Amino acid sequence: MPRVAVVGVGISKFGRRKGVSLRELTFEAFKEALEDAQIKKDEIQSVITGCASDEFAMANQPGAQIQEYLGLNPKPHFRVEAACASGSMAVRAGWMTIQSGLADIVLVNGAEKMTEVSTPKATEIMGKFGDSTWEYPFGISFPGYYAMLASNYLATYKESGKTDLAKIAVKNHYYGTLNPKAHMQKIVTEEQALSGFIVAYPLRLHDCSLISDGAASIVMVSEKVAKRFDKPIWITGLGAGSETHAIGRRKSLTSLESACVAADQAYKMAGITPKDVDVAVVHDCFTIAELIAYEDLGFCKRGEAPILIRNKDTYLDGLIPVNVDGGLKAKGHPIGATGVAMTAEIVKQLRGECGERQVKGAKIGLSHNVGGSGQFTAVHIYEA
Amino acid sequence: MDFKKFSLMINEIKVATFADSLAQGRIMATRCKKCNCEYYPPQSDCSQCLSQEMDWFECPTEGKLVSFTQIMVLPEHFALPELSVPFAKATLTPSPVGLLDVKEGIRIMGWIPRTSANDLKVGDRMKASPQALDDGRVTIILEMIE
Repeated sequence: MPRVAVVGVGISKFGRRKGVSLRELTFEAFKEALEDAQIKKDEIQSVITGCASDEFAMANQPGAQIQEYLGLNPKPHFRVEAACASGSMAVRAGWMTIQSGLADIVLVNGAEKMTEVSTPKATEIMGKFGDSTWEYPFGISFPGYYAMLASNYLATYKESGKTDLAKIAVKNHYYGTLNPKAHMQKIVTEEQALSGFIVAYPLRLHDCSLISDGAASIVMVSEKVAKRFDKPIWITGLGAGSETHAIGRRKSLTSLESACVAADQAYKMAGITPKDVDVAVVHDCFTIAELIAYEDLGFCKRGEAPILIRNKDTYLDGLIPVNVDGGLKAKGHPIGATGVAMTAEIVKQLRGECGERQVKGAKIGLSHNVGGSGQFTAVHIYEA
Repeated sequence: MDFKKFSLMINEIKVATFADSLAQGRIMATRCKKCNCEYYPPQSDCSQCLSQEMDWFECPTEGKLVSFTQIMVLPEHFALPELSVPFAKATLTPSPVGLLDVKEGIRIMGWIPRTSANDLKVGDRMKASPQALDDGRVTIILEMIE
């Protein structure tokens, strides 16, 4: 099978982008991606946009606003929605578009504008990503779902503790300070993380990712076309899985089955094992999610994720650096943009363009993007 | 009774009598007549064998707490309106929420009133019961078995 490459990436500044709209955010990322790829907009043959919520966008066709604003009409365009994995599923759809032969040059955008609504309203919109008929009536917020996973994880693995969650926050906030595009550029100490107010027991303020505005764009091309680009980064493995919508029906509350099957598919397709991964970005929408990701991705055995973070094995010079861009935790989590931004980050790592947060000599990268509380997961593997 | 009295949002669903049963003090589930697969929350169709022939049955209500949380930052839907009294400040402490494992494949979600997450632990023995609220809504609560 011919391969697909990413040849251009762009990310808007993430954050509380007061005074900037969804389409304007996307324009920032789009322009950067075109300049990075050194192609003209007219060369793009097909477009896919990941955007998770009409309610955040206060519109029913947010993708169409973006397409028009980027001046890409009348090229084929559709939107992908898979909650917080919308971005990675859009990348997956881009890969499929190229592999099907429908197009050789595809633009994939991810975008979300989340801060125009109030925090209680944002909490409500996010809460309804869960089962809005059977579980939302119990006041379940999005942090509430991951809090349920955390309570069960901490009870199942007796040696794990809340300090392990805090250590994830400390790491990701530290790396956020090395990423100029990150929402928050502030060190957080373990003491601060352990004393923040409770959002959803046992998760405290610093266990939660940030409600953010942001966009990311990438240019994907077929192997045939990739020859003309200097530094193509190849997508060599893709995996995806799904999981029950209702958390009450999960077989496990210490793992996401969707992530396990996605990882398995992606490793097989790329012909690698977890040990071969040089750098990873994982879906740390909450600190517990990063711990669970270490295990679901096979970076350690079940119940051993706390040891990984205690030993600083996921720091820049550790065994397997994870989220050295700050993660969703510090970089921010504009839900539709997140997956595309993950791809953009790994592409930059594999090109060696990450400056202070560069993993030296990284050749193989991985992204792990979870939608909802596991309802959708996409894992991609990249090689230089 | 309107199903919305339980779900808060949708009213149209084939298993709407679930809310009536709650009002009468029973937590109901469904079982597929063909493959015996059980569903809680109830379903009118079997996702396993695709049969549409289902029987209602009453859920067991006692079991062990599988997980819980206490959501301090609530969705807007659940927020109290602001007080109009000058200088007054109302502090709301929401109840914890938990998942109770009552039998293989059946976990009942419910509010855990008059307690705090600090007093709960996974594995606690609890009982689920329907609860009618003052405003006409129905919900489910979980209580410690003495």
